[in-house]
Amino acid sequence: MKKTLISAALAVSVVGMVGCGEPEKVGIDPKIYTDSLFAVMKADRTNYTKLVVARLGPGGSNVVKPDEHWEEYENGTLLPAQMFRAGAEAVAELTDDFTYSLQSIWPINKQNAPKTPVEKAGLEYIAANPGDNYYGEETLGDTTYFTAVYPDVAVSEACTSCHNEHKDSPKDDFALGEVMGGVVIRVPLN
Amino acid sequence: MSIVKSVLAITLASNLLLLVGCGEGAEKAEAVQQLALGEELYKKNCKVCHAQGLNGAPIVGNKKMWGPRAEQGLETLVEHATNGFGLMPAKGGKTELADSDISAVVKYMLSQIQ
Repeated sequence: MKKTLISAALAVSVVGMVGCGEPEKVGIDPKIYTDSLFAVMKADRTNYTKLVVARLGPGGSNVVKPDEHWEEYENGTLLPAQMFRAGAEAVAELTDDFTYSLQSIWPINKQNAPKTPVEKAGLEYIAANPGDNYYGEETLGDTTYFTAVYPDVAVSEACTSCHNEHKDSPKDDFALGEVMGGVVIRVPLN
Repeated sequence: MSIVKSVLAITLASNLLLLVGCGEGAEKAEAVQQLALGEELYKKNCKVCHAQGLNGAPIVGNKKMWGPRAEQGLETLVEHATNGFGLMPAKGGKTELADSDISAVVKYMLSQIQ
């Protein structure tokens, strides 16, 4: 009886120690994490479009000039897509915990074309399935990443006319409401 | 009242009930058909922004976003969608859509918050 009690006590202690040594992994689901990041990104982009470009640009009080070559004008300001890229560059200086970029399979600037098979698959998927997102995993070097791709849509005539008329654009028939590219968010998993 | 009259009255009443029933059934079928059309049009033309909330588009099924909009009523929402509102261009840029198509889509979107 005494031996049985000692064995039981030991077993309970061992189970307890295993429980303490390897705490259960907890953390936010990568999809929820990237969806949340995208929610902030699109809210900021919408607000910049609505509260700065539309309100202060030619369609509003006309005190600023939103233009691709904004630096050439004293009152020039970035186009919404350029402001978005500026945010991505600033984040890249702050952290490696996640990256994001605006890419397209029809980029005006070739450096914005997809570079990995998952990026390419994601951009093709969101173009073929308007309104849907793409989620995948990829290993680059010795790190595995969760990669999410969200649609970037032509939401105004300014988007379509700029891309369709740009000399470096590989596509000249974008229509309003069409997917022009995607926002790629990448998060390391290990 | 003769038996014949009673039978006639009952038959008439039954037929009337059947007719009313048919009318309601037809209305329901029409409503279901309208929602199906609205869903189809939504997927083809509107989902790309309204599934994502791009440029402030209210996300379909999101009660928090749709609540205050729904309070404005169907007529106002259809008018906004038809002529453009905020950052949304008229008919979302799909000018080929008929006004009745826009109405069907708005009805579908509203049905998703119930």
